[in-house]
Amino acid sequence: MTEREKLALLEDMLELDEGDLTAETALDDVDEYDSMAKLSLIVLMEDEFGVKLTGDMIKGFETVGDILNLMEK
Amino acid sequence: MDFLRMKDRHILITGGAAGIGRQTAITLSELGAKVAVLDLQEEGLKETLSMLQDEGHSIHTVDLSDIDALEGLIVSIVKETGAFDGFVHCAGIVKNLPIINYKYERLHKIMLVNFYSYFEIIRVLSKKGRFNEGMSIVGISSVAATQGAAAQAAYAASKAAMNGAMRCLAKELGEKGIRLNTVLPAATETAMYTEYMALKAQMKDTEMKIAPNPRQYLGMNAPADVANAIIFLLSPASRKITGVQLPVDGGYASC
Repeated sequence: MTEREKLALLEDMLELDEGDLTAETALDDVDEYDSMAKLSLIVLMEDEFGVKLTGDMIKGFETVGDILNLMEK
Repeated sequence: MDFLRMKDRHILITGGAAGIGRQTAITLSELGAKVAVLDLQEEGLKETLSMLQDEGHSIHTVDLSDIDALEGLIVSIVKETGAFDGFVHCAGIVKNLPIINYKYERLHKIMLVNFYSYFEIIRVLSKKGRFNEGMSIVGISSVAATQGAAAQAAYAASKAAMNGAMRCLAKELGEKGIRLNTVLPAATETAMYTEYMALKAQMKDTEMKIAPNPRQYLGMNAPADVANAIIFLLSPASRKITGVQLPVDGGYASC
């Protein structure tokens, strides 16, 4: 999966337009990244990439790139 | 006086490797019942077995989402240890699924374990020779079946399905002398619940509180609070109770 495809998954999950996110985007700047979106991220990462996110991991994410780094596929 | 009269009764329990299912198995064994415990988690099953009183119990590692495998397993248990006097369906997937994550496969997996396996086991058990007179079936539903909660739609739907099926099957199987009821627990102190609350607190960046909704004004359930209700419904002490949804919710439903 290319980086753009991974970004597209996150954009779809957050209901953003294509191209809204880059690896450098700070998560604090994304209004849609709220507690429900974090729940969605847990499901997405587990089901699509087999990665079980913990609360500590989620708290440690600063940029979109931190999430992309865990998307191994 | 032995009010519950569970001695030597043979009870099938799904989801017995932890939490409410494990506690139900332990208490039943203390009352003299023989339990057959099913779960996907082999290590947890072995631990449960080590906690049971007396002999004659059995454990079986099984994936309840493999619906076609269930009849063979149950028939083999009946052949080996006899027909059943009761069935408790505790197994369940609790998963937060915001609507944006919905895929048919995700919903289907939850329904397979939480509802279809319950329905299939009832079908299999209610055939002649597989149950003893007065068999009682208790499904562990949830207050989520009657109250809304964000990201819980799939779980709540599976639990509501149990309640709906239970009421119909209580009528249908009543002529065979089989009773069916469901128990609707609210927040219960299990490892699964603690994990959920910890995650929720970390996502909201607040301190974790193992505390139920304030509407649950009698406080958090212990697994034994739910197990006690299950065992009452399994026992002949409840022989005129069927088709009922019994909340074990510390007052939640009264608010």
